[in-house]
Amino acid sequence: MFLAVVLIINNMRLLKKRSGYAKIEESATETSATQRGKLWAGILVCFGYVLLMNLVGFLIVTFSILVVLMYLMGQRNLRIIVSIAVSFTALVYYVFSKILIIQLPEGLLSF
Amino acid sequence: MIEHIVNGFSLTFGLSNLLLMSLGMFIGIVVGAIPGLNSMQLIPISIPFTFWMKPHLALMFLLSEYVGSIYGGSISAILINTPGTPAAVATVIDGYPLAKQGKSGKALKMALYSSIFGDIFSTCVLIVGAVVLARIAMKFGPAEMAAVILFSLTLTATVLGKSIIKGLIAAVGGLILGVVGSDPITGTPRMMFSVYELSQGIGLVPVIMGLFAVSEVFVQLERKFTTRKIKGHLPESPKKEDQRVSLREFLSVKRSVFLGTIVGTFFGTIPGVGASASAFAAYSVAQRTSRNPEKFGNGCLEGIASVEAANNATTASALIPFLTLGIPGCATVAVLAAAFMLHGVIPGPLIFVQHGDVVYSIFIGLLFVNVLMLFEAQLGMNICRKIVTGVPTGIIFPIVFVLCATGTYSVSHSVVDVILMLGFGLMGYVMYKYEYPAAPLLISFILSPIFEQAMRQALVISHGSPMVFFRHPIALVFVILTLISLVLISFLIRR
Amino acid sequence: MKLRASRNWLVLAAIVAVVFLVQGNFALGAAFPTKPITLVSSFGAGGGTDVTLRSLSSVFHHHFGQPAIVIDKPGGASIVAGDFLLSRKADGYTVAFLVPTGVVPEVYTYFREATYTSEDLKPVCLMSIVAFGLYVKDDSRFQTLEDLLNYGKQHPGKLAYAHNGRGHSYHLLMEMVKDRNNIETQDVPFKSGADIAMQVLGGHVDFGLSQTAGTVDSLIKAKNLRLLAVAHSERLPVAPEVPTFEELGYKFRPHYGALFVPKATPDNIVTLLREGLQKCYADKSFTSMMKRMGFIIQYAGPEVIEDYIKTEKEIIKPLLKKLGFAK
Repeated sequence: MFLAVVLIINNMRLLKKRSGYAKIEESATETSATQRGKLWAGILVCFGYVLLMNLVGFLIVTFSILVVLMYLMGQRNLRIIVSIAVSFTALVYYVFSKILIIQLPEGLLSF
Repeated sequence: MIEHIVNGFSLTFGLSNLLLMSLGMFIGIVVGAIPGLNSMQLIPISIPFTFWMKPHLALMFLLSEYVGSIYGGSISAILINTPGTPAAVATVIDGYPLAKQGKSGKALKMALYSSIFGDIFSTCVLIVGAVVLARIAMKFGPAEMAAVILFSLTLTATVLGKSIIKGLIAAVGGLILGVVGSDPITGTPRMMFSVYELSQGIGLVPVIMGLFAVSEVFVQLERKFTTRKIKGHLPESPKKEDQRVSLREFLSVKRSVFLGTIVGTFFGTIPGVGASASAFAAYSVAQRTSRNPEKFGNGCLEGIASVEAANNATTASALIPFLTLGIPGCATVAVLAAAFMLHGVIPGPLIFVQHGDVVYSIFIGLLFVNVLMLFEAQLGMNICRKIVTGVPTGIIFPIVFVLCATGTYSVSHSVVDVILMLGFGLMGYVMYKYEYPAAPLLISFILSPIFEQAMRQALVISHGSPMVFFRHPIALVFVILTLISLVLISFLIRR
Repeated sequence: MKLRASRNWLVLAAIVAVVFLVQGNFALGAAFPTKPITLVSSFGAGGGTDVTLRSLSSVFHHHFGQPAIVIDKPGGASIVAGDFLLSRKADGYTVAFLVPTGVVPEVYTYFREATYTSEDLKPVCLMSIVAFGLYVKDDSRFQTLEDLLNYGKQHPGKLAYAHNGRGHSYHLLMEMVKDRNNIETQDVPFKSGADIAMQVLGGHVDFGLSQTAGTVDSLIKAKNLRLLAVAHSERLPVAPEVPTFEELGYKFRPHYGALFVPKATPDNIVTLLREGLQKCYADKSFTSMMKRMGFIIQYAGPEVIEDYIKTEKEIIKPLLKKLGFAK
């Protein structure tokens, strides 16, 4: 099974080298070091969101991730970021846990 | 029977029914448009609200929600490349590119008109031919199912895109993903890595949300954002005709609409296939028979029309085996089955005798609901367009992400699904960057488990003899179609 | 100036957040239950279990003061639901509906891996007895079960039947019948009762076994299906001329569904659950819903379930061994 994965990755690398390499440069529009950095930060944050959800609780992680993602995507106005993060987290929480009655992970804020 | 029809009319056009249908449709559209929420969550929680209603009101309300959500899914598919409902997953292929050209209004309206056509047509089929079609559907045992799905799988060839190898890799990837889960016959766990949540296989929702929505979030993360002027991610073409669909335009795609409707109605009648698979099937049939196949995938109206007609056609025709035999065609209809039973309307052959007026009011209601959809959807799409084009990207996509994550969690209450969603988000991003098409992956992912189960069941019944596919006439027909299709494809590819 | 304004926004936002969080959730020292109870359905949306639990949830509020939420955790013949149950806190707020294969998974290890055993569960009460039957298409040549079995003896391997999964009650009962009569048939697993009915109706299999309530009941009434035998303690009203398996000499345990909590759940909470559930079962609107759909709801205390578990270990396990379904 592991071998299969290795083979696949290797083949994909070969394919990329042969046919798609040049294409990548042009299809990745406006990619610079900072862009890549933002992308990786964003991806890591998203994973952190999911993995921390059970530990820390839905409300905290959702609020945090909204703030971080909005910042990464260009928002700089602190007022907007925070107020949207708060209100949207509250809204989603309300809709999902009170109307749809789905238990969202409580984490640290159990009450 | 006549008095059933007459009673049905009066039930449908009663004031409370009209109000409830409008309300249900509106809620359905809104929920469908929100990524992460769809009718699978909406209907179970709406059921308690219907307990106090009379059966025909309750059922029509739920059905309006159902129909509305199928359209609503295409709104977000077109505007933010995120299918709001699994059924709308094929709409992103041509819908989003068209919206990126600034013609979101046109895309949305095309989707609406096609949806309405598909819905009305298959409802008529339901009304006129339910009993006959149900009998035909009954003839589809495992061998027939396997043959039909095999044929559909060959359709993946048409959506392979420019690079055939990449398309094939994607398709094989989908096959591998379809293997995960318990073996359909023996129950042996396959590629589950001791994660019990995967015993039913990888869910469709994490895959779709991840592959389309989350990957789009990652793509957007990479964009250069000017801090001075935050713009939306969709341009708005100022030309009026770019936001409308003229009658001539609609007539020009009538072939796709019609094909989509037929395919959708067909796949809806056979239990077990589902709206997303039939949407893809319609897409490839339309592409293959189109005069401009290369336009597909770049914002081609035919692409939107065929898909939307198909997914709405499926919803109405899925009721055919359900109402006549009591057998739900897909998961959402299964939930509706619960609602029917809770209100004492037992689906099955006796339903026409015992609750004829309710049935006819449902038939008439399903037709009328399209009129409501015409108006409410326009309202809904205008609101959504204003939101999407007005609110900055940097706010929309984080919100979309949270909705997808929460919605995926709410389907199965397991964080595993959300993690899978993220994984698929990464995969979707990589596929986008290296130009691997998502469509073949999805098609084989959805269809291969169905195919495998059907084929193995057929082989069990025949004691392992593959002759079973030749002995059953319907299966044989599809096997021949498959062979023809493969031959045709190899010619096309060579060209 | 700008900083102060932002801080004001933050404070406001924090207040809004706290208000939302706090509302309705302070219940220090209040009696159980203080928040909604989760009912775990071991079968998917629209199936008998799901419908039953949703009907139960509609009357839950009256008798418990808190609503019930139904979530579906299908798979593994209720083992997935059991697994999920045991991953939750043992505080009485999660109750799972399990069927025999998920109650005593250690007996069925031939069919699926058991991640827990019946020792990890504490029964709350019985919920339903599922009557199921063996049926054929209306134009089938078999008029009685005996006809079917005779044909099977004379033509080994020709018959094929549909059930809902190897290792489930329907399959096991049929295997017992097959063994007793020394016949060979092909068993074909399908996903749901509706599927099974459809396969029989379409003539793709010779007979099928599935729950008789709901769809199958109406198909029998419409004379599309013919019931040959019933797995239940008494004959069914829809077909009173059809004998039960027990009458014909096949003793099996009933296919039941019961509610469970993790073993560590405090006894006083479990007692409260039992009292409340008893009231729910007696609730008129609940019983009328169940009657309309043909489901049999029965309250029985944990002793009955313990009894079933004993049967499972002492009688079913050796039976499985005899049939070749034991490791």
